[in-house]
Amino acid sequence: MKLALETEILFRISLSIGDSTQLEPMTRRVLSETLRLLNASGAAVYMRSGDVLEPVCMLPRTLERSVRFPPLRACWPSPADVAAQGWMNVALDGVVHHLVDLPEFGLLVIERSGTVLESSFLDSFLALARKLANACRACLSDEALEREKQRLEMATSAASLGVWSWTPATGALDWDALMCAMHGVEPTVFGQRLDAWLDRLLPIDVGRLRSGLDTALAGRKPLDEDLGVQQPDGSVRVVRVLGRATAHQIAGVALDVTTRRETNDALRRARDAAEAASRAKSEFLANMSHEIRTPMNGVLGMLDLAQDAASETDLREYVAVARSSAESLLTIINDILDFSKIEAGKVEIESVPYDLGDLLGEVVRMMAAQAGQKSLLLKLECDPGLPRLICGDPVRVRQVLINLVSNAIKFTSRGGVTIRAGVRVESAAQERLSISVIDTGIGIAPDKQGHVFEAFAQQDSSTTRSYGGTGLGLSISSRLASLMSGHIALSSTPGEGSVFCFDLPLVRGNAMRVEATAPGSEQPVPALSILLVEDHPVNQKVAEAVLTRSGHRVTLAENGMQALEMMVDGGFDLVLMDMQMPVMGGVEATRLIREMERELRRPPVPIFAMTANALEEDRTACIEAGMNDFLTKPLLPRVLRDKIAALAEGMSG
Amino acid sequence: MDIALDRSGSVAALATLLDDMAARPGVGGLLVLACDGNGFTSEQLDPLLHAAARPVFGGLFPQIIHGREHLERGTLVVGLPVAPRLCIIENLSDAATDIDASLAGLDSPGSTLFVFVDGFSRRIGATITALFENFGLLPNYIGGGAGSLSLVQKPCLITPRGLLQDAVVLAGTDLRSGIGVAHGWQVVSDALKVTASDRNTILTLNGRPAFDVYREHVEPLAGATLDAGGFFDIAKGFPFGIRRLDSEVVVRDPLMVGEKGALVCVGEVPEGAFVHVLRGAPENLLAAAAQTVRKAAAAFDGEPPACATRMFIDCISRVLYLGEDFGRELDAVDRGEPLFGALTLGEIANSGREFLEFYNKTSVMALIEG
Repeated sequence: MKLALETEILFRISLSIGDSTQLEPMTRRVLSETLRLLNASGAAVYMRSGDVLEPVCMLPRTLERSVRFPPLRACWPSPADVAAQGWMNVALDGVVHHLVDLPEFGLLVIERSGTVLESSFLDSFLALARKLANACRACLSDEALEREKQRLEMATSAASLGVWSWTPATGALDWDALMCAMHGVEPTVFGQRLDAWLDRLLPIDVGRLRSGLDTALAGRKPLDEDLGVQQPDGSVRVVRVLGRATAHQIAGVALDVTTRRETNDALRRARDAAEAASRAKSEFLANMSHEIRTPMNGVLGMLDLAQDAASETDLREYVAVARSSAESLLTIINDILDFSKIEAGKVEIESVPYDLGDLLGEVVRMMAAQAGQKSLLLKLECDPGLPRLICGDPVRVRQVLINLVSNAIKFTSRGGVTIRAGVRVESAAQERLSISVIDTGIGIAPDKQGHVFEAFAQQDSSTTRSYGGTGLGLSISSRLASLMSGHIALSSTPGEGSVFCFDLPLVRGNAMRVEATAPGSEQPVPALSILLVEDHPVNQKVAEAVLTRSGHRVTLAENGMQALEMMVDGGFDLVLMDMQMPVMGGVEATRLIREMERELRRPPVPIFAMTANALEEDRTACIEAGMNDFLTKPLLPRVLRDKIAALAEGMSG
Repeated sequence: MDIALDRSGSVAALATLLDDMAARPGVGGLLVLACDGNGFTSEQLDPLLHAAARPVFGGLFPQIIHGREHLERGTLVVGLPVAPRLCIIENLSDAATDIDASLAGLDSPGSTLFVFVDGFSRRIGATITALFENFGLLPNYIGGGAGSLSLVQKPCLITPRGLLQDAVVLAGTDLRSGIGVAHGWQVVSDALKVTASDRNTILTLNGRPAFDVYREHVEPLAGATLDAGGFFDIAKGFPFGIRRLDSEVVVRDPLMVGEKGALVCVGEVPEGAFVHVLRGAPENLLAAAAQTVRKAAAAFDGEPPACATRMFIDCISRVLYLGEDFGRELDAVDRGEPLFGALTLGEIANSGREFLEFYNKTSVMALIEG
């Protein structure tokens, strides 16, 4: 081969080496040029791993499938032998494979027909082979670098980390897309200078970044700063910037910590609130303990005294105080139960027609005694336009008013309490009932007014000690008002008094179906035969005494099973059934009694539940089992008498 | 192989030939070589090609060869004894056309792959490279560039889809063959480095405008002044050659002078290549043509066939250069067997042992069984 042609060929092939940084395209270009210039029938580059050769690129692609390739392939020496020689030839039937070592990479194979390439050419070719091997390794490194870069990008993207670097000597600042997004900068307009970064910071943080960078570059401390970043929409995000310096550059990551900070703040607030609530509940429990013990002490103390009373007068006085204490205790327990029911979402508001005038009069009558004890004037003022008949939940309205009036009396030592009821017209279609309870009491300090409707809150613990009560009353009232689509507003001047305004939608009722708000008339009740099913001896005694005193005949059963047996014999007008009893409970006994009555074709005897379980689901269970009514303990004689009177009236009617 | 010639170059005659040939027993496909001088248009040929009863392929060329005649008007229809597998790639000049992917549409190149390409497509080199990179030496390749000596690109490829422009049609067959390639041009200059080129246009040689450098080398040899006006009259005798190892140089025919002293060639000249000025003596060219017959016989795969046909693909510029002597070239390749072929705008061939090339000013003889 002429030297000039050799040189031309080597030059042309060398031009093709390193044309791409991707291994397959790069080697393909080299092989294509080699094929053409060496008039070869095939060429391939293999990557070597030990003695195993893995093809990287092969031209033509069908090379290994040609008839003449496999016999020659079988004759190849080991790659180590080729490496030792630099190049080796394998020839068979006029076809030769020139095997050229690609140092620290693999093997180049050139397949030609006819004459064998001259040794001098192949020796010269070794320089190109080294260059090709370097290029192949560079491609592998580049591919590895690209993979690492992609992994890093995935990692930083998944972690929402922005990546940055700054070279002070050139002033070049490099940000990735996330850094730009974090700083509200479009990548296409990003300035790529430090000033572009500083421009985005709150003025107060510019110096911190500068000094942080200087400190890091001086090798004293890595950069770690939380910086406020002004966003284009005017909002401020907090970005934590971390960086480490090398000799000429500082590079690092950044993370938007705004949400984390907000979450931490929210968590801190929630923790504070929870701690405050916990403290309030602890105080409440302490108060409750005090509140429950006080009347309990009254009950027990008075009963102790009653046992040894010297006269009937003394006895009556002790019993009266004991009864008053017990009623206080009941109020406290009712408050707690009410609050629990509201909190659990188990209070259902009724909408029935009722007489508002009667309800207000009843409240005044009920509270008059309490006001009278403190020589306070209790007044009711009704606007002339106030309708008598309206729709709503009279029980809950009464409860709210009693609470407000009771509170007003409690915190007023002189003057009086006025209940003022009127109608406020909001629009032609909407009227509201407004009932204000106005007192001349101690009033509430402005800074406490916002908290009076919160649960477990009184003005302070001393208030509880001075005035008593659970601190739940206003909270219960406020929540009941909300459940009735109303609200309670407060205005108060310390030392002058308070006004609580209870406001709720006014729905006018008609005269046809009015729920009686007044207790039933005191008509004489016919004597009934009553089966009392009760396991507790004290409760047996109380109920028996109340019933007997009203003239009824009482038969006692100690559990549901006994009651069922007695009911088979019949002869009872009414059953008062406890719920929780040994042997058989009240619900099951009722269900069996109803079954027995159906089988014997007897009319059902009224059964009233009589239980300390005051929750709604207990009432539902009783009604579903076949009971007719539900009385909660402690059994108030008046309530029991009213229920029986209503029953007797129904029976006689 | 049945060969039918129509000297009139009429569409009607072509229609008759197609029908007749398709109806002959044992004919599996139709190879059509027609003269550009027939003036065939797509409107005329498309209905015939769509209706052809056998797979049809071929092209329109400056001239066709039948025995010892070369004709500027007329049509050859060759009945192949096997059914060819066709692959057509259109929009060849469009860089978005994926040639590798398109080649996957060819089931198998077989033993002999006929390749006809629009001689004015801009990616002939890429097509040739893709063919070799995909099929290597599995088939023998024979074919060339179709088109008009007017240098105006127009529909010139005959395919079942119609008469196409800017395309390549491949026909894989299981016919055994032997290919001989030779040209007879001799290197008469030192190497000139192609310092800038754009596909088939050499912009600079040795860092200077290509025409200036070419003229300095050719004028002393030609004994005449070379200018842009009568460029080809002199340049046809002094083509460029790109040297390859153990082989004749690959000829690149300079056709005209382009802007800024660039030289427009037939076929690509890669940047960084070294080219030499060639000179052709008629006797050398004729000897080379004769050599193709021997090479084809020597390269035949297996036992020589009892019945064979010769297909001769020769460059039209050899006709232009040899003039009256071209008849002697056909005399030199005629061995008594049926002979047909075309005078083309570039030749495509390989001998079965070398890299596939797109040649200029070269003779290609294929000895095909049947």
